[in-house]
Amino acid sequence: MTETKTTSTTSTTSVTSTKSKTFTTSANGKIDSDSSDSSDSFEFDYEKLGLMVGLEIHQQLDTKEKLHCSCSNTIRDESDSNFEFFRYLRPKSGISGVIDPAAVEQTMAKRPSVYKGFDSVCLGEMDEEAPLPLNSEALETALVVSKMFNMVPVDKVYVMRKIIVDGSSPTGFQRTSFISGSGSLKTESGTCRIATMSLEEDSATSLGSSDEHLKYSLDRLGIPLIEVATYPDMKTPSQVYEVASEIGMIFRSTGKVKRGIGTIRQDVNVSISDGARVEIKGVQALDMIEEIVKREVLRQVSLLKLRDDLLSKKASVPGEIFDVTEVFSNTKSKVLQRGMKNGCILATVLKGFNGFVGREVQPGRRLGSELSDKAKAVGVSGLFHTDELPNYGITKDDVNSLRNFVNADSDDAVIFMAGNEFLIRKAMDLVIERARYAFEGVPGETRYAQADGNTSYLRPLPGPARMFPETDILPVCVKDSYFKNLPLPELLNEKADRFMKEYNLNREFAEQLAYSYNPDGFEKIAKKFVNSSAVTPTFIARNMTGTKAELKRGGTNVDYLTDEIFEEAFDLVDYGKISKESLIPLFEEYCKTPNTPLSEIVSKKNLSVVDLSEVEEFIIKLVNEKKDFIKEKQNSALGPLMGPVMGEFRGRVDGKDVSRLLKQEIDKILNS
Amino acid sequence: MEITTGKFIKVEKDGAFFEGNVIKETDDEITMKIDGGYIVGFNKENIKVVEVEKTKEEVKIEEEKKEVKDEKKEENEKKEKVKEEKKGEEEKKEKREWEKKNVSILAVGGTIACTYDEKTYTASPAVTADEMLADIPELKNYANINTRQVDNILSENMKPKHWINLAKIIYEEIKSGADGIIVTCGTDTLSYVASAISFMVKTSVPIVFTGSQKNADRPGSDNHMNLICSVKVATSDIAESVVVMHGTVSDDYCEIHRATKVRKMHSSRRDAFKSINAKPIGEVEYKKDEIRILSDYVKRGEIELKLKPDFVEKCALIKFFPGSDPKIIDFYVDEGYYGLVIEGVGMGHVSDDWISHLKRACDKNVLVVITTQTIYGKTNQVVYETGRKLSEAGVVGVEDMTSETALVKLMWVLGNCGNLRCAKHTMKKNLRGEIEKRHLIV
Repeated sequence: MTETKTTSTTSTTSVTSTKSKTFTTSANGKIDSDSSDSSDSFEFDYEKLGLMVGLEIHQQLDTKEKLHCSCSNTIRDESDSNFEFFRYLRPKSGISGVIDPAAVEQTMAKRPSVYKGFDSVCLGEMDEEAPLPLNSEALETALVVSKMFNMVPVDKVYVMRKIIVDGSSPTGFQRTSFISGSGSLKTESGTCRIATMSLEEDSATSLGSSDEHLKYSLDRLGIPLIEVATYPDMKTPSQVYEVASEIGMIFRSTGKVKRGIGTIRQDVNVSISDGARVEIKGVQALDMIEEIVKREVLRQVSLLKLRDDLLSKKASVPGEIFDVTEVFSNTKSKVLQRGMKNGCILATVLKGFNGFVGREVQPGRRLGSELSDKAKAVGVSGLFHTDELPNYGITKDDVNSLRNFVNADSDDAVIFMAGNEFLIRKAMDLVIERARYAFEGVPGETRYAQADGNTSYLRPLPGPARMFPETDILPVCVKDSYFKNLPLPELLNEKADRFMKEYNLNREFAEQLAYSYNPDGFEKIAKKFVNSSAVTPTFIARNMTGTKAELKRGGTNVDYLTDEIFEEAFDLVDYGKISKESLIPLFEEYCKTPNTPLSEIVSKKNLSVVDLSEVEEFIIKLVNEKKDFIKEKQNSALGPLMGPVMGEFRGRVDGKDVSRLLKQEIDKILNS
Repeated sequence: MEITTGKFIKVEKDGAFFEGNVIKETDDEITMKIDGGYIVGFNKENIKVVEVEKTKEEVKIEEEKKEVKDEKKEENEKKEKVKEEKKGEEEKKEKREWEKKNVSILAVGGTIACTYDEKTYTASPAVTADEMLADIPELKNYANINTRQVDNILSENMKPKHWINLAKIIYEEIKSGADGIIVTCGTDTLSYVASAISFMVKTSVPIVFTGSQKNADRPGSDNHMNLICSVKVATSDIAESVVVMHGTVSDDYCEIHRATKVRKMHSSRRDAFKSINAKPIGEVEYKKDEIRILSDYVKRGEIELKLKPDFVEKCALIKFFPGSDPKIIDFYVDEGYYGLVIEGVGMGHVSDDWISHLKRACDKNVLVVITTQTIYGKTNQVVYETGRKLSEAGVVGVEDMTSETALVKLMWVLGNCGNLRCAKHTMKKNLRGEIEKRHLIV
C-alpha cells in the first residue's frame, strides 16, 4: 500500500529550483541573491545543514455525527447562532501542568470564554451532558487510514482527556484516543516513518478576544479529527511537500474526510544541526509548506551567522533598562506622543549590535522583528530600534540625544518602547532575554506561519501534555479479525490511472474525476452507458466536470445536478430524444426549477430532436420562397440559408443534416 | 519475566513496538500508559513482551526521586503562594471594612469531591475539605474558613443516619461560633439532605448546601463558582437552610433555593436545581459581591439555635401508576412502617382499588400523606370524588410540598410529635417554608 508513487497532481504545483545559489549578507543587511523572487532566492545543501522535518497532520472527518455526541458534523455561520453562554475555566492545581498556576489564573480565570451555540449543538458540546462512546464511523475511518499507512492498532482504545485551558472547549480538555503506531510511507524521495495516529475532537473556533472575554463558536467542537504524526525523517523542503501531499491524498482516498480550507491543518517541526526544533503552527495551504520550511531554514542559518558575527564583534547585552521619557518630551513622533500619554518610554542598549538589529533573517524580517515579536506576545504593539531610525517622525536629533542619554556609542544599538509602564517593563525583560539568546543561536519555540511563508513567534514549546483517562467513557475493543478484514479504498492516484485505462479518458478528466467528491458516481454512470455510441465516458466526464463548472461560473446552482439527474439526461441523449447540444440548456433550466421532470423541460423548452422530414419540409418551403435569391447566388446561397434553418431547430438537429438537405433542395432549384 | 503493575515494558504486535508502564494486568489483557500519556490495551495473545526494562522497584525509586524534586518545587511554590496569599490577604484585610465571619466547610463527598483515581482508573470522591480550600484559596477572602471532613461518599449512599450525624455536627459548629455553614455534598439526594437538616436544625445562621455536577478535577467544573457563591451566602444574613447552585448554564450567578422547596430537575446540567412552587430566596453573583433578594427569608439571629434530631426512619415513598397493585401498601403496613407518602397523579389521586388499602393503613395508625407526580402545583382533595374518598379514608394532602420534602418531614414529624393527631396537623402546617400558600405565574 505504501508503494505508491507521488501523485501526478503534485508535479504541477511543486517545482523546486534545482540550482543552488550562494547566500550572502550584504552590508545593508539585505539578503542577497541573483533573483528578486524570494522563494528561489535561497537554496541550501539541506543534507549538509542536517535538516530534519517532521509533520503532524490533523484532518477533519466527514462523519454523520460528531465524535462524542449525536450532533451533525456541520460548520455554521456565526450569524446563525441562537444562544450563548460563558464560563470561567480554571486550571486545577496538580493537573493543569502549568508551571505557575497563579499566572494562569490571572490570564485565564479572570477572563471568561463566551461560547456561541447553534441549533446544531447539544448539551454535550456545552459540557452539560456526559459524552457518548467513540463514534464508530470515525473509529473505522481512523483504522482504515491506519491500515493504509501500514500501522498497527492497539487492541483496546481508551479515550483520554488532554488538559487545555485556553478556552477552546468548555470542558477545559480535549478528548483524544491513541489508535495505532509504527507505520511508514514510501514516496519517490524515500521512506518516511509514521509514528502515531490518534483520533480526537476538534476544538471550538476562536472568534477573537478582547480585554473582557475570549469568544468561541461551538459548531466545530467535537468534529472528529485524525492526527497523524511522522518521525522527523524528511530531509529536504520538497520531500516535506511530497509527504504532506501524499498523506493528504491517502486521507481523501477514504472518501470520509472533509475538504476545503481549515479541514486539514499541518504542524511542521523544523530543525537543522546547529539550530533548534521549531514547531510551526497554522499551515493551512499545502502549497506553502515547502516555502515555509525553506524560510525557516533560512531563518535558522541567518540567526547562526548573526551569532558568529556578534560573538566575533564581542557584542553584549548589559540589560540595564533606562527611563528615557524626558529625551522625547518634545518629540514630533505621533506614535511616541501617544505612547507617552499613559505611560513612559523605556530603552535598553545592545552593545555592538549596531546594524545587526536591522539585519534580515527572512525576507522582510529582521532580528528586530524577532525582538518585537516577544514584546507583542505580552500585548505591546511593538518596539523601535536605532537601525531603523530616523523614521516614524523620530528625528536624527532625537536619536542622538537618546544615544547620549543611555551612553550608547555608534557601534551600539538602542531598543525602546513607549506605553503602559507595567506592560513595557515586562516586554523589555523578554526582549532583553531574546537579544541575549542571539549569542546562542536559534531558540526552540512554537511559531505561527504567515501568509508569505515567514513565521512569527507564538509561544514557548509545549511541555508534555497532561493526560487523564476520560472516566465517562468505557474503552473500545478493536477486534483483530475486524481490522484484518477492513476493506481498503482505492488510492486516488491509482483510480485516475485506472480511469484513463478503463474508460479511455485523458489525464485531465481522469484526475479531475478521481480527485472529485464523487468519483464513484462517474463510474456507475459510465458502466451503465458502456454500450452507448452517443454517451461515451469522455462525454460523461466532460458533462460531469467541465460543463458543471461552466454552469457554476455562470451563476447556476449546480448542487441540483445529482448523479440521478445526469443519468436521466444521458438516457435522453442515448435514446435520441435530445441532442448532445441540448444538455446545457436542459441542465440550466433544471437548476432553476429543480424537481421538474426533465421530460417536461424538454417539451417546454422545445429541446426534443426533430424528425428530419419536418426539417425537410421547412427547407422546401424556404427555398421556394427564396428562389430568386438562389438563382442569383447560385451555390453560395447555401451559407446564408443555413441561418434561418438552424435558428428554427436550434440544438435539435445536426448541422450536417441541415447542410445536406439544403444542398439537395438548392440543387433541385438550380437544376429545374 | 513477570509483568506486574508499574513495570516498564516493551511489547511487539505485528512487527510494531509499543512501550510504557503497565497499569493493569489481567489473564487476557495488558493495559499500559505509553509515551504521550495515552492509555492503551493489548490482548496477551496478540502480543509478545520483548522487554521488561526496569523493575518496579527501580521505577519506583526513580519516581520517588522525581517526586522529591517535584515536591520540593511544589513546596516552594506553595510556600510562595502562601506568602503571596498572606500578603494579599493582609492587603485585603486592610481594605475590607467589616470583620470577616467564621465559616465552616463540612465536606460530605459527592461530585464536588470527585477526582480521577490512579488506582481504579475511575472517578471517586477523594478530595478533602482542605484540598478544596487549597484549590480555591479565594474563599478565604470572604471568611475565616474552618474545614471539617464529615464523610467522603456519594450522595446516593447517604441514609437518614448520615443526615442525623450531619445535623449534630452542624449544631456543634454553630454552637462553637460558626457564623455560617457550607455543606459540600453529592447532588443526587441533596434536596433530601438539605430538607432534613432544615427540619432538624432550627438555625440562627446560614446553612448552605452546595455541590457540583462536574468532577472537581475538571477545568470546566462548576465547583469553584458554586463554592464562592456559597461563601457569600454563608456570610450573608439569610439564616436558613439553603441550596446554592448555578442559576444558568453560564458562570454568571447562583440561585439561593430554600432547602425545603428545591428539587434536582436535570441529571447533568449545572443549573439542575430549581425551586418548586416558589421563587428562589435570591441570586448571588459570582464575580460581584452582590446578592439579589427575590423573596422573604428568616434573618440572622431572628431564631434561636435548636437541634431536634429525632427521626423515624421507617417511612416510605410510594409511586402510584396505572394498574399498580395496592397490596404494596399492605406490605409496608405489615412490615411495621409508621408513615407513607403516596405520590399520586394529578391533584393527588389514586385508583379506587387503592382506597380500601389506604384506609386499612390509616386505621392501623400509619400516617399516610399524598403528594403529586406533576411536581408543580398543589394537591387538592375536594375537586374530585377520589380526593374526598381519600380524605375520608384518613389520607392527608400535603399542599404543594415536593414528595422528597414530604417524606423527610414525615420522618421528622413522627419523631417529634407525641401523637398521630399532632403529627397530622403538623404535616399540613408550614414550618420551614415547605408550604407556599400563594402560587404565582412567574
